[in-house]
Amino acid sequence: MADGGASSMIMLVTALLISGSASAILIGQWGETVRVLQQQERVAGLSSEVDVNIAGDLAMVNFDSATNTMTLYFINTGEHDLSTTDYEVVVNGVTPTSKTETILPAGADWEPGLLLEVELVTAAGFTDGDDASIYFVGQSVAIDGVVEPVTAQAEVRLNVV
Amino acid sequence: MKSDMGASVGVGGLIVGISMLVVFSMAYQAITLQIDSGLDRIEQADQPMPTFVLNDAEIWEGAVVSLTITAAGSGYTDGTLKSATNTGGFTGTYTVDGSGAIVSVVITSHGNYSAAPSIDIVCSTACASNDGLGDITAALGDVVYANMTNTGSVTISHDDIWLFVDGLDATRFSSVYTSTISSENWYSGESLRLVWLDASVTGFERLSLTAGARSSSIELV
Repeated sequence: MADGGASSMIMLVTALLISGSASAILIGQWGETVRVLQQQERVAGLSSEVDVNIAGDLAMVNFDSATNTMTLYFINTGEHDLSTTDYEVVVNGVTPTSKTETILPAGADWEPGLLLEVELVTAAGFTDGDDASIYFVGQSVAIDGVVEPVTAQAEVRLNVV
Repeated sequence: MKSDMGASVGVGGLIVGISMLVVFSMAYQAITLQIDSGLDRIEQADQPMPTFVLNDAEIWEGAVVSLTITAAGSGYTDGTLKSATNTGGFTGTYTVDGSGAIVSVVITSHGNYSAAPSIDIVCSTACASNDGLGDITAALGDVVYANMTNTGSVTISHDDIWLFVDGLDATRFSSVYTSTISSENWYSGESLRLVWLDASVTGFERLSLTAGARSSSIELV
């Protein structure tokens, strides 16, 4: 009886130790999994915090026929700065031959609420009243090591001067 | 034998109990994660877009946009200004210093002219003794008038609004609009009247307003 009680006690302690260890490992691993999921959720959430739109008069986009220069404005409607170097604007599916940009009203960072004035030199000319398809693709600056892409597209009417 | 069975049942119960605690802990963490991400998405989806309308807009290309005190004179009292022909819609006011010299002028209505009007100084009854030498000259330029209403539920900061004329000349609303009540926000249901002096370009056709992702345009008449 005494032997039986001792062996039962040993089994109980052993079972407790094994169960406890297994529990600690399981909970730890699950916690790690949850942390990874939270990081992925954070990255997914960034996409809704980064946004850009075409600003100004879509029915009157300026195009200087003398220099084939189109002037477009983009507004940062997200919550984070956008890159002013890593972006491209495509007009009717064609990349312009050159582009220059200016942040309005002023500054070096394209912060939320600010405009980016982009002057595109196109290979082809346009006539007054032409419609053009504008596609902007850019990205945010690094946010916690993550860079989020942004796009904007619109059909605009050109005011050729 | 009974003791062995009792111990086995006890060990089994403990193992089951600990297992349930583990499962509960995992479920708790999973539910917490789901709630956090769900709340974030609800919060993001709950942000309405700004909505507004440009009620009307007009441009006066011969408006009096500035006044220059060419000669201050003396013996004047605070009074009003008008065009010499009393036509075109210009009105203004002026103030004087202790000697009755004109020291400041304010345009109260810009009017619209084809050539800069001569300005008449209208004295009050107390300034009959002025020397008659006071002289004020007017300069013409463009003035854009526009009425706009915030038709949405979002309060829009004046700093977040951009103006464009003919798709160019991007100008921050706050740099050209002065609130009569010193407010810097455009509240839901509020109508604003913009008087935008811009003598740099003539021949505007359209005025546009951008706030956030929303843009609205109107023909200038």
